[in-house]
Amino acid sequence: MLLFVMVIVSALGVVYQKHYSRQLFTKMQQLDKQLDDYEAEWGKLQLEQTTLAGYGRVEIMARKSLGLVLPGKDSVVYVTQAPRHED
Amino acid sequence: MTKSQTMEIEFTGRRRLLFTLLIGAMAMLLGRAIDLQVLDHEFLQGKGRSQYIRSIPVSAYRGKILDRNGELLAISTPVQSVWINPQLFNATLDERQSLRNFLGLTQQHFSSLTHRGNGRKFVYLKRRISPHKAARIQQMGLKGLFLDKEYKRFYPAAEVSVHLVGFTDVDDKGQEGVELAYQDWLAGLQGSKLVVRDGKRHIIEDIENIRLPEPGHDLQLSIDQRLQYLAYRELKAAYIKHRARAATLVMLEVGTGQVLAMANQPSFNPNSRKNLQGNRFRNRAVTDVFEPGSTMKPFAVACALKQGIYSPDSIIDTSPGTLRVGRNMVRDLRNYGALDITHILQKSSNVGVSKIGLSLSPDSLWECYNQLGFGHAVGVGFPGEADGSLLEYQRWHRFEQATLSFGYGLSGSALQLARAYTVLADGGELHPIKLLKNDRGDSVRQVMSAKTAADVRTMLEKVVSPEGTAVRASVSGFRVAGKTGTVKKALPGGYSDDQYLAVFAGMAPASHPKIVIVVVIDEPSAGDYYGGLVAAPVFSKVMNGALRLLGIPPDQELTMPLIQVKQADSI
Repeated sequence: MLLFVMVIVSALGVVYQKHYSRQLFTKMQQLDKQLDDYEAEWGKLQLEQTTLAGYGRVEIMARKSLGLVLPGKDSVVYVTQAPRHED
Repeated sequence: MTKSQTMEIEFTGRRRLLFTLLIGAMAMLLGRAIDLQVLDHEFLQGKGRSQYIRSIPVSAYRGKILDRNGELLAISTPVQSVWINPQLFNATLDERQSLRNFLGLTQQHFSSLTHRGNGRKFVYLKRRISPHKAARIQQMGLKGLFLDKEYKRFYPAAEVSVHLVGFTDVDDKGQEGVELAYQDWLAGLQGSKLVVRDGKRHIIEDIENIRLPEPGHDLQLSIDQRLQYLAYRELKAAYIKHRARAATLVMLEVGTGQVLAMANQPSFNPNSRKNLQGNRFRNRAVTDVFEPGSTMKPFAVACALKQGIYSPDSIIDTSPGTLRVGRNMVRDLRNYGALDITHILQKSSNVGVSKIGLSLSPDSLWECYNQLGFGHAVGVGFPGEADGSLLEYQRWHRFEQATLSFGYGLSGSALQLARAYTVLADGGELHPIKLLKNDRGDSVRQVMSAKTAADVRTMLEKVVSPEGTAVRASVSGFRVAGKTGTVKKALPGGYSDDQYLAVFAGMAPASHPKIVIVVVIDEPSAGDYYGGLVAAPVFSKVMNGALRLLGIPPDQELTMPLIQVKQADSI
């Protein structure tokens, strides 16, 4: 009789555990999906950032739109420390 | 009743037989049942499960490729691939039409893909579409149409660093460059998971993960994307201006042997490479060899100084401007008369260098070149790396020895030449070349004394002066040391008279070099072809920008307005 009860209890336990594990798995799938979405967005943003900050683009903007130029050698003043260090 | 009684009596034997047969049949059925239920249980249940449970692969994330400052060079982002099972695909004409337009497929292509023949059950309609588009397709809810997650590789730097970074194929395997060389490190491991599917192959439920996909590792290269862009821009400008066949630039960091930039022309965009010939894919800086010509002369001089045969102020008579070696002649552009070694390099006198080269024993010259890394691959693990060639000295004749001293008869890649120049830049030390930022494994070899290297460097500074061949390599504010080369290209049966390589190899700041750059312009055909006119200006522009970007203080005094502050006043 005792054994019978124990078997029933254990069987119910198995059923519950199985159900619980499936639930957790589904949850994990959802989170995975969410992670994927974030990953996709992160990738997209990184790409966007690199494209917008690409050297070619920045250079064109700086030169054309903003009219920036590299300072010529006459307009550069180097500031050094009094005992000039080796390099 | 009597009838039955008689039958009972009559058929006892038959009844027993029948009974035995029945029992026997039952025993057999029972036995079979036990066999199936108990003994073969595992096997059969597995079979049954396989009808609806399948393990399907889960693709792994491929690692990013970054430059030394963490800037992106290659990144994978998740995308969806659309595939159909043509046997189940039964969309209406309208649906087909809108799907076809949405995916941008031609009528013909689309109908050949969805064709039911051959019993095909898996056909990709379109690979790698954006997650956004995929969601729209999912909403159409078509039967027999499925979506799989994959990764697509993007190269934000595009053609600027494609030769170095390389690219992957449609299955995410590295095809060229670093993508190929470090495939195993980047790729990660494909995972798999169990799913329940119905008879129509719809996934009903995910059961469990058998193996999680293991994401690949990121890879940080030693190149600096800012310098890479600069090198690319200037090289491309020169490539177009001189209508060259190809062009290459290598920039190395002195003291570590790390590659700072490596650019090639012609280039291509790895993000959309359709109908491109394979010869554009080559990273010429590593895979293509050429004869270094005059850019070898400093090494012949260094070898002679190292042996103690000459000192930096030895005088060598180069008149009458020609030198007979065996049955051949070595020629200078004109008769330079008696020159010291500095001026031999400054004027790039073949006769002078030949005399220096011939004064060395063949084995010591060979040993010296060999130690500088000529004749064996650089060993950065780049696919298709060239060994270059340096003939064994036992097979040299005297004329070969003379030509070797001015850079013909041996060959090397631009990277090998740059590595040899780091020896002059770095006090005679040869560092292994590295492509990765965190590659610290270092087995430094002292190839020549620091004094010899410094002596040669001082001589090379005179080349980059108004009297030398490479005044156009100079960088204002900095002392520059370098050597030009105008190399006749080797053709079958001799050397060409109208096809040249313009080469410049140099370093700055000369007082304490930080950067070595080698520029090679292949077959400039717009008039100028001298190394000092074609390659040196590229060197100057790239070096100028690189020194500024890396914040290296100028070492040439008196040309710059200078404000000196006392130590105490400094911030």
